[in-house]
Amino acid sequence: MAMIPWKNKTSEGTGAPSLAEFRSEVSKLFDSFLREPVGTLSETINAWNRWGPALDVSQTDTTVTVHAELPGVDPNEIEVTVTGDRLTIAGEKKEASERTDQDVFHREMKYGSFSRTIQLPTTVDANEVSADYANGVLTVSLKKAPNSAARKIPISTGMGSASNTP
Amino acid sequence: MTLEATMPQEAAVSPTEHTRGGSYYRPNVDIFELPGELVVKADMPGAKMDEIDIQFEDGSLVIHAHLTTRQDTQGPFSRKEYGVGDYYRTFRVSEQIDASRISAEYTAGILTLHLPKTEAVKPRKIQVEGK
Repeated sequence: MAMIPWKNKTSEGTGAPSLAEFRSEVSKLFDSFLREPVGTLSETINAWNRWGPALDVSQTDTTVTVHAELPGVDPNEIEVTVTGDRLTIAGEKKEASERTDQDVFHREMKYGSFSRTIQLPTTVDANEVSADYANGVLTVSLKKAPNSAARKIPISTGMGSASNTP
Repeated sequence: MTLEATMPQEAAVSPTEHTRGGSYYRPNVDIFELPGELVVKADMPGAKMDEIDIQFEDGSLVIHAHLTTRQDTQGPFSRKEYGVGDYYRTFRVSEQIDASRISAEYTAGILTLHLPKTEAVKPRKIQVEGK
């Protein structure tokens, strides 16, 4: 589907028929390239403004599980949103208030708001999401959308379709 | 003042050095000072309270937490951004810390160590007596 605009654009440019195959290959490459870095680009922009937790993503045939390292974050300050195949984990890590008047002389931890958006391996069911926070690790359990599961498409060998082949 | 986080090479264990078949990770720490104590906070997500070992010997404080390495129970990983393994870090602690009263707590993936100062170095107000 997403390939179509790229094909059109290329054929407008040159229109050399001998390059048709080559162009289709190029547009495929462009398509996959453009689809992939969208996630990483927004992640890079996020990284400039805020910090983002390190993530683990694993999957089974029906589920996707995401783990995020978020030590010291109040679970009430974490927001998890799912849209299609996008997962966003955002929130704020607050410094303990007792710290304001004291002398901090060694600091390695990150504080403040964080946000991270990733592209999941597949589309998930936005109504079947659960999140659990334990020992500084957030676990988000997602269910793959029914239509996203890999399906075997049967090929019909009926007489009608055979007669249509050139 | 009196506490110094030893560098990985001094500690002889770098963040992801493989030792005896396992990996050690150096937790990030914040150290700050209160009038009566030093407080060390270490980011140790995923640790279990009963598998954290804190030792103090010859002026050095050692934090070690045992973690079971990641299991592929939930299927293959498509993203692995953080390591899962033991946490290890050492600190040099001066004599101004009362080692016998060091205490620790673990909440929300953060280990907090309280290192009380000895009576001798605690700030105190000296009464001026008139004659």
